[in-house]
Amino acid sequence: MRHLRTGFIDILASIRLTLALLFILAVLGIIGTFVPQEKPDEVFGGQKILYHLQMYDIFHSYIFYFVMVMLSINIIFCSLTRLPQAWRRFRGDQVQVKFKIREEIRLPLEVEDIKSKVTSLLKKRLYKTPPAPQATEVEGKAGLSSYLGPYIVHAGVLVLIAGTFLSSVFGIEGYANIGEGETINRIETGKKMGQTYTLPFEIHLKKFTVEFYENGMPKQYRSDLEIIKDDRRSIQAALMVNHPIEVEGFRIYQASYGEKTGGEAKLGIFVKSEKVGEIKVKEGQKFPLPREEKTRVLVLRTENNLMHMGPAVKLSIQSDRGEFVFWVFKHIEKILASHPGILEEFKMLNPRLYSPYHFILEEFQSNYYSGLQVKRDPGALLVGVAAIIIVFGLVVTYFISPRTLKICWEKDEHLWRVSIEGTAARDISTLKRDVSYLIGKLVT
Amino acid sequence: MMDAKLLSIVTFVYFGAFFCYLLHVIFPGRWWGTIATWTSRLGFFAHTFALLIRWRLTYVFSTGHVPITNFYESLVFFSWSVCGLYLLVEARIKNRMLGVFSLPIAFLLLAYASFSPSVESTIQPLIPALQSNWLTSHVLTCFLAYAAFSCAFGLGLMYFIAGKESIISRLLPQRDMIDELLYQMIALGFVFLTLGIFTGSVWAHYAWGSYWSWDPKETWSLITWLVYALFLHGRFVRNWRGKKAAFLSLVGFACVLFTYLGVNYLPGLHTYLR
Repeated sequence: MRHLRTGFIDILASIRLTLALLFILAVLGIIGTFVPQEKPDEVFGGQKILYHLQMYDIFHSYIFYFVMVMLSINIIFCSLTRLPQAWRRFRGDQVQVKFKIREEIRLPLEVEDIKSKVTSLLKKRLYKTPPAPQATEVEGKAGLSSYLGPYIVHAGVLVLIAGTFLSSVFGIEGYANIGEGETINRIETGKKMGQTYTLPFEIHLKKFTVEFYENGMPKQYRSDLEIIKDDRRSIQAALMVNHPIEVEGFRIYQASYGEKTGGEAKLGIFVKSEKVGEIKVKEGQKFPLPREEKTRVLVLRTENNLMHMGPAVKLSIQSDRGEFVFWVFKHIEKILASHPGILEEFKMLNPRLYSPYHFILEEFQSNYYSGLQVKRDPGALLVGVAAIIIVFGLVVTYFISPRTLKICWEKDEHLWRVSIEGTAARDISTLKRDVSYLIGKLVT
Repeated sequence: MMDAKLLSIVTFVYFGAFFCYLLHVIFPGRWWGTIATWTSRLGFFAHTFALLIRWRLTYVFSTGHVPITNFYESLVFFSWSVCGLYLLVEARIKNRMLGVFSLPIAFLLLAYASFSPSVESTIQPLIPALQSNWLTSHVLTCFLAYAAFSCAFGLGLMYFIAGKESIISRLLPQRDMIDELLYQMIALGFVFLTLGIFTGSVWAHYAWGSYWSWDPKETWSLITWLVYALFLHGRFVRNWRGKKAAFLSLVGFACVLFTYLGVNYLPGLHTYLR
């Protein structure tokens, strides 16, 4: 029985298990990028197996959680079984030797007090020098803290796993599209269709603005929000991409924006240069053309920003002469200036297509909505702390080199024979530099 | 654009340097090695200069940003990191063999950037999500990691070639030395990849509202991280060396390439590189 138990513990504390778990995690990751991570509406045949194995939500599946739990246990057991040895090495009770260097130099007898000279040089290279048993030798050890590096890293990984666990179990994440002037307090969490979460405050969108670069790419968009808390007190806040705001433990992000259909446009109608009418229209609206009562004008579409050329309205004129379909741009002058000849090339863009009439888009009430993401993530702070611990641990592990130096000297007939012996546990380059520094300083 | 022209010249300089490294292998002892080193140093200097020009130009054509924000710029920076890291290693180990493997990587990356018609080299303004101070630290650390892994890949290839008895293998450094250097490159890359993933997470926390969204690029960076973690554990505890280590450096580099290029064909959030 005892045999069985130690066997089990050996497995949990084995690196072979670690390697297997890391490999399984990598495989799960590969599956997660090639199997689409959304639940299909219906599953057939082989897909059913995938569905029951939770392959469509692999990173929240039981298999994944199981591997993470096993990895945590593995890390704890590995660390506990190996820590005593690492601790002895860190304390300098046990020396690990992978590389050895031996050098010998001769110094003239006039050189006095080699001991204090060597000791101070070693101290400059961050060596610790315990009192040596003999008067003609000095021993130094450096970089031993490196032995604790892996344990720092793994402690960090455990904190990281704990943080991600908190995030995925207690975190709330939802989206809301909100139009100008609207107020909401519900977000769609998307865990199941139509599932919502009620926030402890209301979000009111006062104004949404979007700026574009000349090539039509969005430059920045912002929502001017008013957050109304339970006690009816309100805060004003400007929300932009990359600049979330924080309210009562929730973070609000500017995630996206879009256009609602049915923006309102004000059209000016001219015959030659005389204004014959002015009308406010919406998409789908039909109205008689002034002075030509039989002719009907249908508003086919209204666009906030058509082909990156600004607001535009698509009209269809139905008359005795046939149907005329064309766009009326708000910034037609600007478009003509940058694309001369475009009207001849694309008749659809000519607001004078139904001559002698001529349309001008005088005003356009854009109808943007702002896409907000609202999130409460109790694990984020822990994950941040874990990241710092892990990076610190990695630096300690890989950029500090554990090494020892032993310097002995004896009197020859008319010289000091100084021997320098060094050992390094991981990489030899730092030790080599130490030795050449020591020799350089002693010889001059 | 002046910077793009200069970079296309640098491409040829890198090819020339690669050629010299090859000649250095075939005719050891002659001055080909010195020429190779100085050619690649010259190329690297011009490359750095071109990057600085481009940086300056972003202030003229846009609002000013570090020139690492689209696919073209990332290729150019990747190539720069590979060449820079290689030159550092060469100076440190005093052996030019790795040049035969590193310079062609730098050359190919830059050639793809400069001459592929599908890679757009104009300076583009930044979309809102990219307007962040985390951009620089994230991209910088990630590409330094990629560069270190590329050098490890070169070393891995070298290890296999050094194993075969041939004229070339006699010119290669000791296999133990290759093995040790390969380990150091991977350790360096691993630290930078970890930093790159974490800086990316912090940024995502502010820009996308989540420090981790299992976006394909994130997932693949984690897979890459796991493969190299596997390597480091295998080495640290079970003393994986030689062929096993060299083989893992090749697998790891395949993951790097997929993280960098392959995921562009999968839907996701990191779409700036398309």
